[in-house]
Amino acid sequence: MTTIILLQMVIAAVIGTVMYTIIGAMPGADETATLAPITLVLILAGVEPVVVLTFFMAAMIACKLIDAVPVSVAGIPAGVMSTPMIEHAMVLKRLGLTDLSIVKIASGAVIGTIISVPISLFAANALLPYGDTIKAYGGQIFFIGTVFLALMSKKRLIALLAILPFALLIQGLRQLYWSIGVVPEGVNVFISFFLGITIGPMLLTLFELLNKDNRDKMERYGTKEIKLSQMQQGKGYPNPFRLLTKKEIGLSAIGSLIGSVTFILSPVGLTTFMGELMASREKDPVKKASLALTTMEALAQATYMSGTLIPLIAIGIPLSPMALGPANPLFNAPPALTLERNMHHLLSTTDFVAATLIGATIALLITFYVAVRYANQICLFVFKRIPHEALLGVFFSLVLLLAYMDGGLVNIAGVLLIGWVAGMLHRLGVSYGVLFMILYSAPWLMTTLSR
Amino acid sequence: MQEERIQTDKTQQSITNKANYIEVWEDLVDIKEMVISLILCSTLSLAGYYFAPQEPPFPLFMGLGGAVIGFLMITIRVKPKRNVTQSHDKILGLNNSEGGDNQ
Repeated sequence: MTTIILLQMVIAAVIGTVMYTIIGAMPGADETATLAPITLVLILAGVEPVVVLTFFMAAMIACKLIDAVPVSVAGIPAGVMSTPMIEHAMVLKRLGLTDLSIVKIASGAVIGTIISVPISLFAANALLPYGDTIKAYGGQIFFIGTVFLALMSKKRLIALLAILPFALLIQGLRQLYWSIGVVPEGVNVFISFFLGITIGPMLLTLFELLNKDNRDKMERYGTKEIKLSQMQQGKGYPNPFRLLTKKEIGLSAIGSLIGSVTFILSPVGLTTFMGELMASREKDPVKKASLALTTMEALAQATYMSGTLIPLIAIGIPLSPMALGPANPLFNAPPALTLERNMHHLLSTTDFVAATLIGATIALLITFYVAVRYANQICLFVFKRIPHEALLGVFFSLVLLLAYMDGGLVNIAGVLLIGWVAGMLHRLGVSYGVLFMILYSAPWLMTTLSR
Repeated sequence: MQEERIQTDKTQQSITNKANYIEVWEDLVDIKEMVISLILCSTLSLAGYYFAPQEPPFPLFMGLGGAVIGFLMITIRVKPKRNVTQSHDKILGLNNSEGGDNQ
């Protein structure tokens, strides 16, 4: 690794951090929608793979950490992954403790990252000899994960019942694309389907708007009142270890540990489940909410980290929600990277370690500080200036764009269909986590059923 | 009864023009402006992709660019449906927050 490359990595990390601290703070800016395309562009533009990886690592951490701000300040999810935290953040907000919420989440992110980096690297190296076996049983593993998450959700019966039909829809569309030739045989349309699921509830609302009766029945609101609590400014660089209780540090460390090894499970599903588990014994509402937020964030960061690093280092094919989603371009960015020749093959262990350390350190240093010190200003700016219509517009058009890129006009219809169904299932109580897991296990499920 | 309700809605809207927004994805939008935004951003994005030079990464890049241009246009023309106020209640500062390690 030359000095020039190292310098590029540092610059990439800084740019990634700054960009995604801004993008991540915008409500509705989902990580997959925003991280994947930009990473793809960088790879195709010829940037050195190790530099792109550094960018990605920094962006991923920054993006997730800064979610703390819109979630805590206004209860608005900044991406699908932050939805489980809203309930707890609102408990704190109602008590006027918004800054506490931000501090807890941001500090949890630091713990999560610090613990998951070495553990993920370690786990990845430990799994290296088993890489091929894991690749072979990938489908089964995903399926078990799907059933597990379905059983853990509130409406478990409907979640379980949704698995086969939804998997059928997904694979059915893929097979259709193969047989009419819009997608090369064997290539699984993925990112656009993932986004279709994410955008599902919004699509459902849009479709309902087309019916005048529904329109009239819809609840109408005046302008939304958002109260920003005034934060007291501390001095110097905030220390996450002093901002958390020992119990919070301990439990989020455990959460990170779990997240670091369960790279196959959907971060959303796992976060919800773990958050409830960790906080269930705490009675005091403030302590309970703080604990839930800290552990959830630590776990989420850890899952992101392990979900990216372990498949990259040990397996070489995208075998985790992160790898299939935001990190997918690192595995598959034709013609620069393909499943036979991607970052797994091109980078050495030193490269991975360096990229992760540089990306993570810079992202934490910058974004943690910004979140804790400037939360108020960020929210003020975003909420006052950026209309929700603009965000919906960008997101929607990104979905359409990626759908068209994945499979032409036919896929635009396909993605709308998937979104529609996902939106309805979501309304019936099937969580995002389960829906995503069904997406991952669909191929294996359908081939197994037909035996 | 339906007609009566629609009448009242329309009157209310024309008088106050206030309770007019629907909730999509945890935040409020005006239906017309949202539809314009969706169409505008999608068109610019797909147009960018379509008219881009064929070698990657231009198509994706231009598609993204189109979406961003649409985003900026909407941001400039459309007002957010939020009323942001600063509350001046006493808030616990970071140094003496309940989560400190003096627990």
